[in-house]
Amino acid sequence: MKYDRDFFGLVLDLVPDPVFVKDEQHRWIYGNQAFSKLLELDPKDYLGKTDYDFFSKANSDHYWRVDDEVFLTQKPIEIEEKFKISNSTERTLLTHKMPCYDLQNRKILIGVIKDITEKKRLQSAFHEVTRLASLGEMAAGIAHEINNPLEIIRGTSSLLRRRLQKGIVLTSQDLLQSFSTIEDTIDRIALIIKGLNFFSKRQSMEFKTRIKIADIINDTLSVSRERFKNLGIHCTTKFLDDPELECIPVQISQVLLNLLNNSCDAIRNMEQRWIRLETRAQDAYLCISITDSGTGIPQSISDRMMEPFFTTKAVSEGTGLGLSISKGIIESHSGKIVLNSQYENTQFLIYLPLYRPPQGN
Amino acid sequence: MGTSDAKILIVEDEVMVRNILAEVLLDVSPNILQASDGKAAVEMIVQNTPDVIVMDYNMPELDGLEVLKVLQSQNNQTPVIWVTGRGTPELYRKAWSNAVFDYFEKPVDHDLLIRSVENAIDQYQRACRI
Repeated sequence: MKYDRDFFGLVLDLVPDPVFVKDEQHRWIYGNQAFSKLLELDPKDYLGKTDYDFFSKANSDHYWRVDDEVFLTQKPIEIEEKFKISNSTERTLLTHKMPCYDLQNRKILIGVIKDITEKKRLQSAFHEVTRLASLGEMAAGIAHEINNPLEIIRGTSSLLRRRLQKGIVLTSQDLLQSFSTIEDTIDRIALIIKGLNFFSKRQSMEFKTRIKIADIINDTLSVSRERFKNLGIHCTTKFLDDPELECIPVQISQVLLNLLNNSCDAIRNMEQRWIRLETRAQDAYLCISITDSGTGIPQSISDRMMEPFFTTKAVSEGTGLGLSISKGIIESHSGKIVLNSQYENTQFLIYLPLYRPPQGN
Repeated sequence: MGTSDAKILIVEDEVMVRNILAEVLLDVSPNILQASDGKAAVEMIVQNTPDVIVMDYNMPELDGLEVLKVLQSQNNQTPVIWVTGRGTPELYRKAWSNAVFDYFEKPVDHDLLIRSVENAIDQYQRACRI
């Protein structure tokens, strides 16, 4: 060995990411300058000490368990952890913990920390932006869906008023019919709004929940059904399997709605107008297929369609964000979204991992 | 000839809305024609030469602007009134710049619509006489 400890210490101090070493009793035996800065301590104050001397019991228990796993399995672990010291704000850290032996052949653990607080913040800001963008895409479509029923309510009532003003005698049959038209139409609007509420629940943007896919699909369709009906599009669903997924339901819904809207725009002027949604379990994944009566997408478009701001629609009708957002969402769920170019009609396939209960010890 | 025997064409893809507009516009004239999409509307315009066209903007086949372009290409001067469920400032400007006679957003104030239809017929018939 040409270089001594001090030299490597010097090198590690220049590394901007915190690096530490623990012995098998979980005591710190080394920390570089970035690590000391993270702990807001001098090395002499933490060397030889453990997590319990500085962090809450719950956090320490957690760090300790992960360390033990590394020592036991002798396999490296990458783990995302919340970190908070005294009064400073909570940070999110990505820690790599690697097993190793020191020169005396004792087990040690080397930790390398990446502070991903800022990345996390940007990620959630990105989700917020994409949520707003797809809300914007939706808003235009929904205005039409609500304004038509409003026209029916207003029109029905205005016809009654006109007849009265002209002295035309209204039979109870006439009145009953008008009332039920108004009530049915109000129910139609209420259904659309129920679907909208589902989209505006902010808290549900952040947490994964376990939910059956049929529930998500049915909720989504309650928003689109009106539009399908107006355009004479026949929409069917077939749940060959209806397993539980662990997902953020509103995001999955957002993806489905994007695809349904695209289908609508593509087939609205065709002779044959239908959309078919099917779910099927396939190995560890659930496959949702969305097929419409279109004749596929030319490769020149399909190559680029997942790119942000790529659109074939007029400026006022699309932002070109729908598919790129959808792709982002599905990938953040460890899934995949693909166009099935082999199929005779236009078919998108979404693969999402099935929920697997944690293995009990 | 006056507004009371004018031919009014209503183009609207949603049947309930179309029926309501038809009944409302009976106040103007008993001669009401109906079409459920832009393509059917174009055929009907050629065959029946209406005095005014009240049309939904967002429609299957041809939308409001496309129908208008067809009319202009045929040098047809029939006044067109747009009704839309998706009113935007852009669409409003589009209506103006394409010489649409009037523009309404749903839900429509029927008294105003009737007045506008009567004005359109009146102007059109006067122009035809000259």
